[in-house]
Amino acid sequence: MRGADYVIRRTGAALLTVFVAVTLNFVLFRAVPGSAVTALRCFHCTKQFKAALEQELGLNQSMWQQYTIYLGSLAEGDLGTSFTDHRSVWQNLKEPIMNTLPMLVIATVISVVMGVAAGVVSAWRRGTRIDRLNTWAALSFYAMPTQWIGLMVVFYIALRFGFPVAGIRDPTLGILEEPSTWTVIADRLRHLALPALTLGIGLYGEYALIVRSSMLETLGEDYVLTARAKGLKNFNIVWRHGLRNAMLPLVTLIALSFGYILAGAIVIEEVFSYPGIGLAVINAIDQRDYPVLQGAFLLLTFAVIFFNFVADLLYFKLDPRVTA
Amino acid sequence: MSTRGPVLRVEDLHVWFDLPGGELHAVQGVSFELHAGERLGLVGESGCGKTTSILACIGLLPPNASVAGRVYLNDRDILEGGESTVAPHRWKDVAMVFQGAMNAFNPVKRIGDQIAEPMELHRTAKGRAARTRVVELFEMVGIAPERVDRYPHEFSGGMRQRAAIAMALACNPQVLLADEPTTALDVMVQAQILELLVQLSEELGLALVLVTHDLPVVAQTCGRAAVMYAGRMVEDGATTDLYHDPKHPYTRLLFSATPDLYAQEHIVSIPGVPPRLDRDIVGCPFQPRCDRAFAPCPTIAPPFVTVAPRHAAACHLNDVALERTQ
Repeated sequence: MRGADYVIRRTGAALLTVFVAVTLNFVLFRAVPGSAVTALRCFHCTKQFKAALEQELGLNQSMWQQYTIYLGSLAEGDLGTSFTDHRSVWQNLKEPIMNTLPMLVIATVISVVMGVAAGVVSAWRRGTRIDRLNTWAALSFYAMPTQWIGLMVVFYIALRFGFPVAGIRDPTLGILEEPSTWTVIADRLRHLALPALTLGIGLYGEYALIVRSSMLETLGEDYVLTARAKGLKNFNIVWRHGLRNAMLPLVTLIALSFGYILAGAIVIEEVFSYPGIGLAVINAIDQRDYPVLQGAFLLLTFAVIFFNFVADLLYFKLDPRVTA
Repeated sequence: MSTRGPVLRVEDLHVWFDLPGGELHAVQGVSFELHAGERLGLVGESGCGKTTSILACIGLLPPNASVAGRVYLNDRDILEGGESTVAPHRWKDVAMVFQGAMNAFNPVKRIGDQIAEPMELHRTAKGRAARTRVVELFEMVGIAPERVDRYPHEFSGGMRQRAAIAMALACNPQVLLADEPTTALDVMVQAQILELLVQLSEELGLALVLVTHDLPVVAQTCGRAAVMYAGRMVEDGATTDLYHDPKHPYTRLLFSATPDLYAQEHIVSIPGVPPRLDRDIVGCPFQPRCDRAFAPCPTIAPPFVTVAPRHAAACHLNDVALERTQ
């Protein structure tokens, strides 16, 4: 069957990619000169102490042994232990990830909705003033650095309309009384609204341009003329015959740009002091907390692979011509 | 031919395209009429305005085109009120088969659904009834009914064109406008599709306009042919009359430029190129290429008039012939 075969192949490809990513992740951090132990500079860091530490961290074993140990612990879901607070890496990363994910989802929704709307309108009104305006806006926002958009959002939106500009939770919440679930959710949404908006604006431009050109191509197809001859009205032509075909490149683009979205998130979380995965990575770099860094990289890699896998399945669902 | 009036009557149709380089007068006063069950071949070189004319009839030209003239469907002018008067007739009364057999269907939707779409749109059938109708149409054009749920890429070129014809028949139209329906197909499939069109027009009393640059196709399919040149009608008459007794030099040269398997003569090409349509044409548009041009041709445009029973042409030579016989 077309479906089962395809899913099996794609799953296999995704798993293979994960394995390669894990291996690269291991090699990359070992390729850096020195180790967590040689980097230590402290009064009581004697040779004996360092040797003991190497023993404890397993750094005195051969690369191959380290690799198999790494794989083994990964298979058990053990990402290692943080150098700084000695909690497990997963404990360190769980909360930031949970903070970042909803922000990313909302940002993606904002950018896709804005991008598709702008692109479709532009394509449909090609060459008119609204098309030119749209295209220029999209190009401009595409070209703007995300952190700069973030600063502008803080200046012109947050301060004017009273949105919080830092953190993820109102510190006064829950001091006087236990807040209701709704209050907590509303507070969370207020905090992630602006980072998500910033990221969404930073991304929408590219989507709008892609949707515009893809929609223009689709609207020039014979089946669109056929649809008009069949008596379909403009809206239905775009909705039933244009959009789905024009969306195909966008599905791939969103999946491919997921890595970029995460990178954008790192910068934006810094601007908004949003305690997400981006801020966690920055802190880990500051403190040379290699296990956390390594764990974060690995999880991000998994996320990118996962979303590409989802895009593949979606593409398959959307386009009956895709076989294997 | 029925005794009732024509199903489709086109009068003095003009089309201008507003292009960056200026205005292009693509169709310059085309008139023809078509009765139920009649098959008209619309022939001419590329760019002579054949496709533009039929797209204009049903209001399908792009926004940069302006149209003048009258198109009567059963004696009602459908272009009169613009989009609002022409839209209800699309597909319901006047359906089309396009050149791109490969691309007339949306690649991501099932063929059956796409055929049912106009029925639901024009409320001729819906749901299960529409599906029954699709199966019926499939049988009519010779496709196995179990293929209704297939996607376009699973059909061969010929089958896709059959399906396109089935789709055109979905709402029982009176007029079928076929724009080069066989160009993309190989000769065997081409013959089958033409045969199908002839058979359907006879069985259903369908008036057919077949746009093509392929004269043998017209000879094989249509009782009547109209020849277009530079946006104008130059000759209109029974196909046999046009072949044996052309009343316009262009028609004659067009036939001699067509390869014939049994003929002994050489193929003659017509020297020169058609005139530019973005500037006014003085005199007969064909005159610079005509082998029989004479005094009035460069200055006076010949009117499109009846020169014999059911035979019209636009050429000064016919006036001379007429004078001689008088």
